[in-house]
Amino acid sequence: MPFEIVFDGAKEFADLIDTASNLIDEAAFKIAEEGISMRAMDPSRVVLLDLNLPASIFSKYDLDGEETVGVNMDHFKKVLKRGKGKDILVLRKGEENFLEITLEGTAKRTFRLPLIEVEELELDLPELPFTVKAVILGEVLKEAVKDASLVSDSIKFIAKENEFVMRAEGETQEVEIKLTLEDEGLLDLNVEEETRSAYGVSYLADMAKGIGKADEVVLRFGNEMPLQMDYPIRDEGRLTFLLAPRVEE
Amino acid sequence: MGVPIGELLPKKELELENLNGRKVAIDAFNAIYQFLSTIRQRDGTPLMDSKGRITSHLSGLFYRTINLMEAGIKPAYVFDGKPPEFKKKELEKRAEAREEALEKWEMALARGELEEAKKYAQRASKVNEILIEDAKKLLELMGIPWVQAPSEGEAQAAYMASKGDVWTSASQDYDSLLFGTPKLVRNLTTTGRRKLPGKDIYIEVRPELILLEDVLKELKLTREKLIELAILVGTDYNPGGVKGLGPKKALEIVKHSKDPLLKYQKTSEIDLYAIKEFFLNPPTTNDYKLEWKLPNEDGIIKFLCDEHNFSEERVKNGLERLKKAIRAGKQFTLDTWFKK
Repeated sequence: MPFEIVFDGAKEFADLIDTASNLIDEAAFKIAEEGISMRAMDPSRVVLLDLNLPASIFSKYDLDGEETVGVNMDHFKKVLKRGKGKDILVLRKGEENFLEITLEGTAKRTFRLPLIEVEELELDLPELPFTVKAVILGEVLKEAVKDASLVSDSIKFIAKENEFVMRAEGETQEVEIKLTLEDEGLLDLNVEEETRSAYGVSYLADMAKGIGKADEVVLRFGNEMPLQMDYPIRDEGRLTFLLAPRVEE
Repeated sequence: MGVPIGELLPKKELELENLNGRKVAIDAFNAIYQFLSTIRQRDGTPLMDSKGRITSHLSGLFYRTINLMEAGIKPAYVFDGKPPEFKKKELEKRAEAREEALEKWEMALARGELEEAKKYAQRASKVNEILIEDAKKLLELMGIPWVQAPSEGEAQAAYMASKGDVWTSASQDYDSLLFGTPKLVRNLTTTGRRKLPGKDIYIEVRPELILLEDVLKELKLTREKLIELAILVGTDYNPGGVKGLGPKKALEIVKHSKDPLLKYQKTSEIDLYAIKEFFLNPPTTNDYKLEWKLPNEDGIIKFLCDEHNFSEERVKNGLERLKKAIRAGKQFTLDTWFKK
């Protein structure tokens, strides 16, 4: 079924797809009345991605019935990355099995990307009994992941009543990032019980890549439980990750 | 070897990856025997170092264990201790069969019939004390735990599985079920392409999972009755069982008799009740620790390459894979939280 969807800000969209493409090779995007959604798991089955972009965040959202389009994420990313910050992005599909990507700036540049068969991930998100919810600034998370990567491949999240600590311990070096509600970087903290869990730094780095410095990132986790990380896209849209924990030594 | 009741048992096919994150107690003797009989040159000669010492078992153990670790499995090998008195007869029978196979191998080689030679060479495989000591040394260097069973390794593995210290036991023999393992994985150390003995046909061997609970439900038996069934059909301790009695007929007898062994005990030289008692309550031990450590790389290179002439390039490559698998093994997958 044909559709034509317009997003003002080609670069923002490119960053989003760039982030996802670090973790998954191909994806099935569901184009429905309500908006665009995509759910996929990385090949090692450690990270799940759940993308929701409601129709309201697009400046034009025309479609002729629901449709699922499969794309190679690397190809999709490379095309989108050709866009500039203020370029307008148009995603169009006719009757043929191609996705047309137009970048409108000083000129109209149109790419045609072949669609591929991608199996949809039919999986409901599990209801996990998280014991911590923390809202932090994107910048804090990005820096913490970079700090941790200097000393270890694993980072521990530790939450107590009034503080949230991220700690990485290498063989000889250590780093600790401590946040209380008095810090600008921690916007909210709810802790049901003292909670500790460890996560892989390289996965977190991939997940945090597309986050804006000023974005409010919501983290939910529990003892030796997956980390759920959400961040908003144009307020109403949302990208959610579920990251399986590391085995704590 | 083992009890010929396979045709009666419900099985589930598995992929190695389905065992991701699981600890598995592997029947070491069984695995080594398989490596020894399958990893051979074209004329049936096992792999050997420059001094003529057999190395098929080391090659199998090293690369296969790495494969298992790469699939996220945490293997622990369980070695046989002292065999029970009544196993002597089976062991003598095996020794005779080996002698005979050895002669036929040499004759086939003399005739230049390679295929034939390889067939007999495989049957002549013998796991001896030196091979066992080599295997334990290699496992230690690799950082893989091994457990010394007081008696039968399968009994110890079954005990560890029933305690929950491992998720399953792994062996080709069904005896593990008689020893009470709640789960048994077969084909774990053979998986992959395998040549049918004596034929030019390759088949894909996949691991299969057998649940004791399913077996007992399907056959409508208790574990005690399953043991009686096995004894009638023949176990390692009473080879051949009752003459002329197949698994299906034996199943009927066991179901309809309160004490099915009684009738056959009269004509048997072997104490069938002692065998039953041994399966029900085999000697086991709590003296083990399941810890997976980092490999001793220098030690492995010295042992495999310097002492046993393995290719250093291949071994180093294997070590890289092993280390990568260990790192990945510290990461849970989401499957743990998604119920299927």
